[in-house]
Amino acid sequence: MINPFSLVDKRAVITGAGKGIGRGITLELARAGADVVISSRTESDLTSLAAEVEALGRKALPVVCDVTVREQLEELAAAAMAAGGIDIWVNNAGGLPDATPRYLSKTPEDRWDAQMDLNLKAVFSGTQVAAANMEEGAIINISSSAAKSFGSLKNGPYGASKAAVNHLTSTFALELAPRLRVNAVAPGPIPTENFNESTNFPEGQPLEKLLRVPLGRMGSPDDIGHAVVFLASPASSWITGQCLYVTGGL
Amino acid sequence: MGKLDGKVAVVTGGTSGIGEATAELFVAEGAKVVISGRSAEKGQAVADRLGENCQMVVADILNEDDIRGTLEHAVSAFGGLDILFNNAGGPTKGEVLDAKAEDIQYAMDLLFTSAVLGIKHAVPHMEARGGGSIINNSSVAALRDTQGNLIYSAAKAALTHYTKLAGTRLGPKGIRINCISPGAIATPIFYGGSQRANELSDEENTRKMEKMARNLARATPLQKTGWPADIAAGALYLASDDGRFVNSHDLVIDGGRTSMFHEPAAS
Repeated sequence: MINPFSLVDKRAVITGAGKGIGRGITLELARAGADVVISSRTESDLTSLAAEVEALGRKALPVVCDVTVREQLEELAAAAMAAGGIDIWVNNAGGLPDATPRYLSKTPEDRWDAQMDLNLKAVFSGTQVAAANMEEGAIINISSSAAKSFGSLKNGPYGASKAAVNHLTSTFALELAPRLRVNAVAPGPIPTENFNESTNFPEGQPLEKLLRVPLGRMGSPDDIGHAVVFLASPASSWITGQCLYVTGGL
Repeated sequence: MGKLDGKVAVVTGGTSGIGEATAELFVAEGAKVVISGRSAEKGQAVADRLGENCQMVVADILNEDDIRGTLEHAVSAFGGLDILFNNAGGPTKGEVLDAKAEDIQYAMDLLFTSAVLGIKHAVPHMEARGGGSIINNSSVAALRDTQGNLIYSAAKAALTHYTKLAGTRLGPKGIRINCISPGAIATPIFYGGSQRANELSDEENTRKMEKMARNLARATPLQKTGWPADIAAGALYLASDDGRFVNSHDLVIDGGRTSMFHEPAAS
C-alpha cells in the first residue's frame, strides 16, 4: 500500500520558517519527504534550520523575505520556481505586534493596520502569489484557535485577523479548485518565543491549567507540523476550504 | 513501521464502505481491528481478506448489549482498546410536515444514541490503557441544508455537537474525541443502503456506483468523487499520534462542498 502521508519528491515553501511553529512545520514536512524553501526576515535562523533539514536528508533553500512586502513574496516564489517548482505553500508568518491588552475600542489605527498587514494581507498576497506559480498542490494557511471564539476580549485585532483568514481560506478554495486545495490549520496554545513575548499570563501556575486545555498539556510545533503534513499530502486529497483545529480541545 | 503499531481498534459498520476501507487502512498501519456489522457473511469475508489482525463480530448498534459485546470482544481477542470508530449508520426519514415519532426515534437511536453508548462503554477500556482516540462518523448534513432529510441532518448535528462538548470531559483522561463529516461518498447508501446493495448483482452495483460517482464529482468544487479511502485517511490522522493534540474537532472531508454556497431551504 502506498503511504498516503508521503511527501517524497515534493517541494514546499514555508514563510516564517525560522522560529517556533514555522520551524516545526518545516521539520515535519522534511521528515515526510519534502524538500523545503524556507523564508524569514532573519537569515541566521534560516541557516541553522537549513542544517537541520539537510541532516534529515532533504534539501533546504533559505530565502530572506518580509511577507508584508509583495515584491519579496514574488521573489520567494521565483526562487522556489527556479529550484524546480512549488507543490506546497504554507502561509505561516504571523503573530502579535506587542504584549499590551488589545481592546478594539482602544486600538490605534496604525496598530490595527500592522496586525492586518501581517496576519491577513500577507496571507492574501501569499496565496495569490502561490496560485500564480503552482500548477497543482496544496496551500495551507496558519490560523488560530482565536478564529473560533465568538469574541476576543483583550485580543480583538488578532482574533478578527484570524477569523478573516478562515473565510479567505474557504473562498480561495472555491476559486482555485480543482487545481489547488486551500486549507488552514488553527493552533491552540503553543508556548513559542513569539507566544511568550506577546502574552502576559500570571506566573506560578502551569499554563495548561490556567488555560484549561482539556488534554492537559500545551501544544508543540510538531503537533502543527503533523497537521500541515496531513493537509499537504494525498491523505487529504478530498479536503479543501477547511480549518483544522489543533488545540487540545480548547 | 505503521502509524498504529500496537493499537487495537473497533470499527462499527466495518463490513462495507467507509468502515471496511478504514479497517483495511488501520490493519495496514499495524493495528488489530474488530469490525462489527449485521451481515455475518459479508463481515467474515472482510475479516478473512484482512487476515489475522482483523476479527468480525455480528452486532446491531441499535442494541446496547451488542455494542458492549463488540468492545469486550476487542479486549478479550486483542488485549485492550485504543481506538473506536463509531461509523455505522444508514438512511432515515422525516421532513417538517411528515415527521413521525417512530422515524425520529429510529434516526436518533441509529445515528446518535448508538455512538453515545459506544463511547460510554469504550471509555473504561481506554482509561485502562492510559488513553485513546474516539472518532464519530457524522456528516456534512449536520452543517448544510439539502444534504439529506431534516431529521437525518438534525440527528447528525446532535452527534457533531456531542463530540465537540465531550472533548472537555474525556481530554483529562487522555482520550481524544473527534468526528469526521464526510460529504457524499460513493457508497450504496445513495441508492437504498447496504441492504438494497446486497439484493443487487455485482454488475448492477458496479453500474449504479459508476453513474453515481460521475454525478457526485460534478457536485464538488474539486470535481472529484469522494471515496471511502478519503475518509479512512482522515480517520487514520485522527486515530494516530499525528493527531495527538486534536480534540473536539469536526474534520470535514467533502471536496469543498460546504464552502460552496448558501443553499436555499428545500422546498
